[in-house]
Amino acid sequence: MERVVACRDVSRTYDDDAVPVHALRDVDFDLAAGEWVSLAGPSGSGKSTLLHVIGGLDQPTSGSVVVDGVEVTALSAAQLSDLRLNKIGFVFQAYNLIPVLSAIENVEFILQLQGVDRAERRSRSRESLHALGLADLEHRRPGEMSGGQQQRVAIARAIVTEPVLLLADEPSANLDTSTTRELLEVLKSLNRERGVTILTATHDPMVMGYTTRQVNLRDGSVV
Amino acid sequence: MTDPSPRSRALFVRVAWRNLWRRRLRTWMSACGVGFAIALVTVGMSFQAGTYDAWIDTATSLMTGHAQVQHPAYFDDPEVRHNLAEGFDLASRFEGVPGVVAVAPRAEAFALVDAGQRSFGAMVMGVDPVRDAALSDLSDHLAAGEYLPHPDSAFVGTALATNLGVGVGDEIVVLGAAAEGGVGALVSSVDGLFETGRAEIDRNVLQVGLAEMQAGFELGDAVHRVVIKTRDARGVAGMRETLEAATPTGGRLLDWNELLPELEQAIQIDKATAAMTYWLLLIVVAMSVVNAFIMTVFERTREFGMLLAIGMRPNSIIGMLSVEALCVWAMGTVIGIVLCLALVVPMSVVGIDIAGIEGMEAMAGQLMMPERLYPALNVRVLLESPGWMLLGTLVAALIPALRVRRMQVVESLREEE
Repeated sequence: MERVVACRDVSRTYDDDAVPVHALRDVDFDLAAGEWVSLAGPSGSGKSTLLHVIGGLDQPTSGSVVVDGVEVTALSAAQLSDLRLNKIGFVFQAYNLIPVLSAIENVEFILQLQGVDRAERRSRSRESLHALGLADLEHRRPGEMSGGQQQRVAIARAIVTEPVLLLADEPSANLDTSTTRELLEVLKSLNRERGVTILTATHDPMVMGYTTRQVNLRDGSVV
Repeated sequence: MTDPSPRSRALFVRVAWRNLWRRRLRTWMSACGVGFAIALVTVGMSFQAGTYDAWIDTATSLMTGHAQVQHPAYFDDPEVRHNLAEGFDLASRFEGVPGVVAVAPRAEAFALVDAGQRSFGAMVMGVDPVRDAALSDLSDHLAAGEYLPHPDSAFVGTALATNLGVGVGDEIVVLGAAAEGGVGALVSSVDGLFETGRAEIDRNVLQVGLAEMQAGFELGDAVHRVVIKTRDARGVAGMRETLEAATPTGGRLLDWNELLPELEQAIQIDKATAAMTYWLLLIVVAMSVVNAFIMTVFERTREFGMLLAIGMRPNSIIGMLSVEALCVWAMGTVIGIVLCLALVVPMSVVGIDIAGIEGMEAMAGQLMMPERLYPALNVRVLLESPGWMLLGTLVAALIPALRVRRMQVVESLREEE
């Protein structure tokens, strides 16, 4: 099966007041197209750091990270921006929608960054929101929606560009159990029906139960 | 791949405009700060423009006119022999020039004015009363008697008349060096007195008929100045070529800038002094805009981190912040221009009564100010301070916005809102 992500000997070391902190230690990790993998582990295990490194938000201290055939560590800042814009969708723990834009405008924003024309932008955004059951909320701003609804808008924004990889960092952390289940059903449907490749960092057992594979991290290493 | 920013301007403007209203009070404070600064500077500049127009009008309308033709040596060495022949013919050369509204020839000499027991030195001017009254308002300052009613009349400054101990109806004798080297003399009857409020003129000037002056000082038909008044003193520079073309060989054209260099210097000094005040004001306001945008960037660090994470480039975010600054500037400019127009337009119609302000009347005379001051609005006045404020606002927004370029995405995403 086609590999979307390939990490080899990836290490990430931070300097915390001149004391080196090893967030990742020689991590090898592969993600195949169509998989939904959860990176699991306690706080500080390195799961978010690995997610950030794969997403081009952070640079590894050493090692190789290939996303959709592109060596991420060799890219300039501008090339990394383009990679994130065109190949990776992000879902954050805190939703991170633009508060002054409505649901549909938030989804459209990323398409506008890609230079998609207005008519196509509007139709794809609407389709994305409909797929996530948000047809009636497209003109609401984030402040007028619940946490679960905001997170679904964030997913709509992340998938509207049809990325090769969806990265979700603790997507259920701010949601109650029933909303988390609804959200996971949405992700499951995207994964099964649309073939979206998903990598989730989580310590929520319910999330792990939905994923097709689980990778455990402890002290920066895959265990 | 291309930078997506050029295709995203419409959304940037929408996001920027809505972002401004997340902190309504701060936005209004910034816009009002920009607006008041623009209003203060624009009102100040319109008063300056009105004051300079008044200075120029007052200085040129009394005697100097907007331009003169003289003997080439007369300006630096004002001797009687440095004159121009055929004064009236010379004057008529300028009467048909477009933009010229009045022309008057003058002869003049420094002379001793004798009134029996007392003698004083003074500037004697021979004028054609009809032509001169069309370009000089000296006759409007009549204090007693009449303005040159007869060929042998004299029109004397009140201070000079007091010094000489003469009044209307008395006779004076004027003695000086004639053009041919002999003694020039004329006897005149004091038929009128003038009082301009400017001591150096009231104490040192008298006017007589041009023909009497030419005859008494052996000038024939010669004059020393052909004084020209145009429609607008400020427009003389643009007419220079036309006036030069009408100036005969052996004549020298001088405009009011050259005739009254101290006036131009005074204007430049006043402009420089005011400009310092305006700059200080604009800098203070720009600092407050810097402060507002520092707050904005700190408050929205996580939002900017998210925008960077989804693939927006730092320059595009800085562009979006610049659009916010542009919106603040636009609001401020509207506020400033409306305030300025509300203040200046009514005052430019009715004027400000300078003479009515206690202690200003004497000062107004010394400063060549008219009794009423009319602030003047023009395109330059209306555009200059908004233009500088635009630059200041954009720079003020750019200083904190540049922080976006140094943002670490992961760190920014961890920031609390």
